[in-house]
Amino acid sequence: MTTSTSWEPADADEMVAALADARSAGQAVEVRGSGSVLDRIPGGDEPVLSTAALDGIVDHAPEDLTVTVRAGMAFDELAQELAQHGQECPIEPIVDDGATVGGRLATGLAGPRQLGAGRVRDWVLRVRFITGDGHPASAGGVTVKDVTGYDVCRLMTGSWGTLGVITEVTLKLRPIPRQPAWFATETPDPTVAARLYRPAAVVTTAERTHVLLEEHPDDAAAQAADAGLEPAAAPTFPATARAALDPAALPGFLAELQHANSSPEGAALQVTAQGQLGLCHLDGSADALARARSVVERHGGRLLVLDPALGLAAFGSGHAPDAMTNRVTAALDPDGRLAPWRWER
Amino acid sequence: MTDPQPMSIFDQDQLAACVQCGFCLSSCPTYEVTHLEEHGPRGRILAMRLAEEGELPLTDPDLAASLTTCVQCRACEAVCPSLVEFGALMETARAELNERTPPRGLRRLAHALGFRALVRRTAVRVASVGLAVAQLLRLDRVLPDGVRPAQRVRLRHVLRRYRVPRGGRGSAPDDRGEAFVFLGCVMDGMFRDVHQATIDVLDAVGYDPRIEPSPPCCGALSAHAGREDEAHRMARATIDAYAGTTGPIVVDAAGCGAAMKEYGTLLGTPEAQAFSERVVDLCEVVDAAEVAAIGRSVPLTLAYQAPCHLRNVQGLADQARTLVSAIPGLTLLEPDDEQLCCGSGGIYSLEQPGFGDAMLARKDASLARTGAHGVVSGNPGCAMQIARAGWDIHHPAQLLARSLRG
Amino acid sequence: MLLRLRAILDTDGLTDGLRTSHLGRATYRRDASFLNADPLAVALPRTVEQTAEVLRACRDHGIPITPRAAGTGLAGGATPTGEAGARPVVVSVARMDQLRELDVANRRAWVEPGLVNARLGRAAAAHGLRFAPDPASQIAATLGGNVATNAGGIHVLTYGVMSQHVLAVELMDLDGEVHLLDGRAPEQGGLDLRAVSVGGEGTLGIVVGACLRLLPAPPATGTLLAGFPSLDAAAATVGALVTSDRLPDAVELMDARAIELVEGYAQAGYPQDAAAVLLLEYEGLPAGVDAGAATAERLASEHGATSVVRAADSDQRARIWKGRKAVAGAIAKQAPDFYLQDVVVPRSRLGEMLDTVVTIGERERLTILNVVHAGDGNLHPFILFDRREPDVLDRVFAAGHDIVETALRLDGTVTGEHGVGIEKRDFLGQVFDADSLAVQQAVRDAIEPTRLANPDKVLPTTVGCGEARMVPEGAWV
Ligand SMILES: Cc1cc2nc3c(=O)[nH]c(=O)nc-3n(C[C@H](O)[C@H](O)[C@H](O)COP(=O)(O)OP(=O)(O)OC[C@H]3O[C@@H](n4cnc5c(N)ncnc54)[C@H](O)[C@@H]3O)c2cc1C
Ligand SMILES: Cc1cc2nc3c(=O)[nH]c(=O)nc-3n(C[C@H](O)[C@H](O)[C@H](O)COP(=O)(O)OP(=O)(O)OC[C@H]3O[C@@H](n4cnc5c(N)ncnc54)[C@H](O)[C@@H]3O)c2cc1C
Ligand code: SF4
Ligand code: SF4
Repeated sequence: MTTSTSWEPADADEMVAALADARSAGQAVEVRGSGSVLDRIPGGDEPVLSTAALDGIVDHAPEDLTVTVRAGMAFDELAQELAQHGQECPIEPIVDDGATVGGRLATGLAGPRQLGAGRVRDWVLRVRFITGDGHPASAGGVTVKDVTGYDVCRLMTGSWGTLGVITEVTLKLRPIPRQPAWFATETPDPTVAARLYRPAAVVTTAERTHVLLEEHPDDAAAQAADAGLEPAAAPTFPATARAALDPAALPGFLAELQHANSSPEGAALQVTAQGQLGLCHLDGSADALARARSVVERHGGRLLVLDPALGLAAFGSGHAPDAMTNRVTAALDPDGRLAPWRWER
Repeated sequence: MTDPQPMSIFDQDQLAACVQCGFCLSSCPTYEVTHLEEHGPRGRILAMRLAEEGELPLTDPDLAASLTTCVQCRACEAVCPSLVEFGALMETARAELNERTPPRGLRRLAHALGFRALVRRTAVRVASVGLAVAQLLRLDRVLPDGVRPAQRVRLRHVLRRYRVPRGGRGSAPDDRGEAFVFLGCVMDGMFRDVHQATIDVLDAVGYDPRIEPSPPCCGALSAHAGREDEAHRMARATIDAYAGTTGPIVVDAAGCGAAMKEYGTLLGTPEAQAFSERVVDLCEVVDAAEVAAIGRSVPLTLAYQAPCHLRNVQGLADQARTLVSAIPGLTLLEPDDEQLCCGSGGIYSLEQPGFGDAMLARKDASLARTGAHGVVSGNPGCAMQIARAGWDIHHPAQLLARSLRG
Repeated sequence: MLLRLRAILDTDGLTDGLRTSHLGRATYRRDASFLNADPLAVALPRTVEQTAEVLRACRDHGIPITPRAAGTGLAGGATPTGEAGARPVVVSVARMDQLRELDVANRRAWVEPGLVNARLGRAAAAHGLRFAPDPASQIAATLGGNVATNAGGIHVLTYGVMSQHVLAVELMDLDGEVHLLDGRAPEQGGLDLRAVSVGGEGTLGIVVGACLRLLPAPPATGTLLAGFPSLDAAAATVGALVTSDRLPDAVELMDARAIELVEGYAQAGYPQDAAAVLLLEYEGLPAGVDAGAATAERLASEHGATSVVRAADSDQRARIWKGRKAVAGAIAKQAPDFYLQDVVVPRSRLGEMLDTVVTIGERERLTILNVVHAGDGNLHPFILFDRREPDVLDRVFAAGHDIVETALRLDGTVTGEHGVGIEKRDFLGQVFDADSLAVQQAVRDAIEPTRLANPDKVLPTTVGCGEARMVPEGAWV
């Protein structure tokens, strides 16, 4: 992606100024974290507002189980800092791709540990952001419990840079599990999840079902023995596309994919599923993914394809915003300054 | 209509005690029927406040209906975190209402006859015999459905004389002393088989059961209907009757037991207090472990129904449940309706058929879902109401007697 | 207008779904707060379709609505006030109280809004599952109300507030149209409007259904009771616990006044000489629970605990909780009324906050008990009073106000779980700056453009305040 204009503001004030610049030039902008995802969305050469200079921890209060960071900080750096205090925020990406904290929030895509730990939005306490029309605002608070006003903080989570530019984030923390360990079944068996007490993650590949246990080692050992699990390596994830659908519809979806896969004309797809979550990660040809997208959408789900070389839209028609979404977007970005093209690409 | 005036009928502290938290709503069987605040405890207390403050007269039709649709199960009282004594408030309200709008026409006649009969044992007996004969001849069919007792009253039971074993004849040595079985009014008229079972059980577990003295009625029905003076008279008569005796007064009708345990607060005398302390439910004098150890098998699958006045006033539902389920061979199932009132409430099912029927329908459906063949219930009112839905009712005393006596 | 409502709702006999009588309206003047206003009428639809028709009728006549469920709310959210004195129609969802679907395989439940929280819990328990949010009012409060207030409870530290357990919300707008927010699928692009509707306090429309997450019931539980010589020691222990390697699932703190009252009433066996007690609970697999409890015992002792007891069986566990649960009863024995506050501070400021509450109580000559969700920094001071005492309400509200101001000064916030309603509405200007408040208003208007849904609540209005009045002294209603 070549970029025509770009800004790299160092603080909120500069961010406001940058937005004003863009506005006076009559331009809409794309907010960019590390670009790990953005660069894989088919796009033009829109002006970019980078958060790279908004770096570093503002405040870490171990006793409050909270940390406040600037949005451009790399998530893995944050994780390392927190680890020194025996704490974590369990919203890491599936692969360490340099993602920023702001990018984690803006995409809302959680990794496999969301089975036990919840989604990205469950760990966000406060967000400071600049609205599309250039006003610095905040939502949420630094306390772990807060029902003051509407939960705009969670609304910003998963907004993909369309409502505002996130400049600072306060996250909830927890102690790092003492001895997390991956186990696996001999053959794929997603039902193993139901036989375990709150496993941290369950991931089924073509070969086996991987389970992450974070409980006390004695408990983990007992659980593994009961469920017939062997120690194993962590699974790896296909990283071209991601399907999200009703967990109840997932088995039907997988069966259809498998059927297509085994037919002579079917192109091979590599699929890793997180059954209880209704998530699937896929690799495959453009044709195969296009077909997978139509199957997912028929099951009421969505497929995100992140490889511009394939010639497929990133979001697809499953992501078309409804009227209420459009109204809320217009409320924060009345002039459509922030990636108004988002869901069409 | 003249402007309503502030009144001073209620105990101020009691009215003030309700903080309007609403915790009681889901426990109220009438609220569960309509989901209207005025049919729930919080709304009823508010109604009393409005009357007390003079915002609405007690005789306002909505206000009066709010108060008279209460089945007086006192489930609200049992869950109230602020310890509001709802039962007492409602009895005051009913008494005041009765004074202002005495029952008229047929209702008045029914009240006059019915309540007067309660104090005369022979009247109840005659009525019961009449009912048994009528049922035998199927004459009761002429009565409208809501009024016709569904409980099968058998002439053999109504006419039976109690067999009271004398010291030493029981299966256990009589080392626990005398125990007085309270016979009461309706129970003595219609449920003599239950009393006999109670006598047998007491004997089996080592008491020396007595059926004398036998005061005619505990006064519970009068108190609930707001017939305050009558209730007081009956309470005093009951206490007087037992003067000079010692030992537990065993009650096998949950409603009577509840009322007698509250004589202390009703009359406020030390004598009444001392009397109330002697009153026990059958389940308080029989030990579950003993039943499990020595009882014979009673192979029945039954659903447990906790009478409101056992559960909410005496707080004995769990104890009674444990006791019955200790009977070898007996499978006791728990319905999923949180033991809400069946709608009997003394004469409530007759006075408020709409609510009574809705509550019974709910109870019936929940009992049916257990898959049980019959129902265990320790109160005559409940037994008669639930029987209307076609259930066989077993009193805990009967089950225990079967197990302990073979 | 009322005729139209009457035509929509069954209005005969027991099923009467529209109340316009004096008593009918009077019983809906308030929730569990102290705020009163007289509604125009009360509508109790039985179905989603009836609800839609009721809302359309109100919209057509420009009449505001106040959604209501069990009315256990403490912030006046269900008190029927309207802007500029307009009297709203109360729309009670209490009759829509069914558990639509218990999806055991996928561990979730679809519920109607009027279903009581504890009833979902019981239904789930039959399948070895549980619904985690457990507000103290769960015996009567509804799931729709819990969604609308984003309710909390005693297990928030590890399980999170209501929002974390709400997978989808069916929100009905004033046109009677139902929007499925979020949905059955995990998030992946698209705004999380669900999040905003959770905690919307009836200002965004009516919640007519929700999909809730269920969790497996924990196989083991460890419960501890520790007594401390000072509030600071207890607060410091909380700090140590949350930075240890396993979080307790519940951390409740009670201060000396609360202990004294509760012991006198419920005899739960709390240490009488303690300035504070902590109730701790660990849930999960047995070895983890044991390790957690052992750590807690050690940390409590290190911070000067004068007694630490771990429940050996379920009876003992019940006894420990009995004290916590008996607070309201104990208070009832002491004074007829209480004003229950709800503020949050960062955990590290808890000690300071508690000390200030004590000072405020002394200054206003009021008994204030502190019952605290300490793990979350969420305080619930109970201010005791008797409203028949002259001028007492002024002192009560002054104390309440100061408690909120103190929380704000300590970087805290004005409500952790009870919501804003009317009670805390005018504090929002202190919590948010003008731009942030404008964002709040813009989001609200985008979701509910008619401004007829619970208009007077949550955000400060420019139009003067409506008909709400605090209970005048000596009055009950
Ligand atoms: C195919 C694929 C599948 C993936 N699946 C998963 C998964 O299942 N689970 C998982 O955990 N991770 C997943 N990831 C990785 C994850 O989404 C990214 O690591 C990360 O969240 C993006 O961070 P970034 O800083 O690189 O953001 P960018 O790529 O720079 O931006 C991503 C989006 O966020 C917006 N954005 C970024 N920063 C801000 C800000 N400060 N304010 C407002 N908007 C902003 C951008 O406008 C853009 O819309 C996946 C990645 C790919 C390519
Ligand atoms: C003694 C006491 C203890 C309490 N303890 C706790 C506690 O521990 N934790 C806690 O979080 N809360 C607690 N509460 C507060 C209260 O119980 C909760 O706020 C509860 O969620 C309210 O539920 P409800 O059904 O009673 O709703 P209501 O009180 O009827 O309504 C509450 C709000 O939600 C709105 N609303 C209700 N239903 C709907 C609907 N279907 N659609 C849209 N809006 C709706 C109303 O307009 C109102 O604004 C307590 C209350 C009391 C009295
Ligand atoms: S539970 Fe008690 S205090 Fe609460 S509303 Fe009911 S009667 Fe009043
Ligand atoms: S006594 Fe029973 S019916 Fe009457 S208000 Fe209380 S719970 Fe409801």
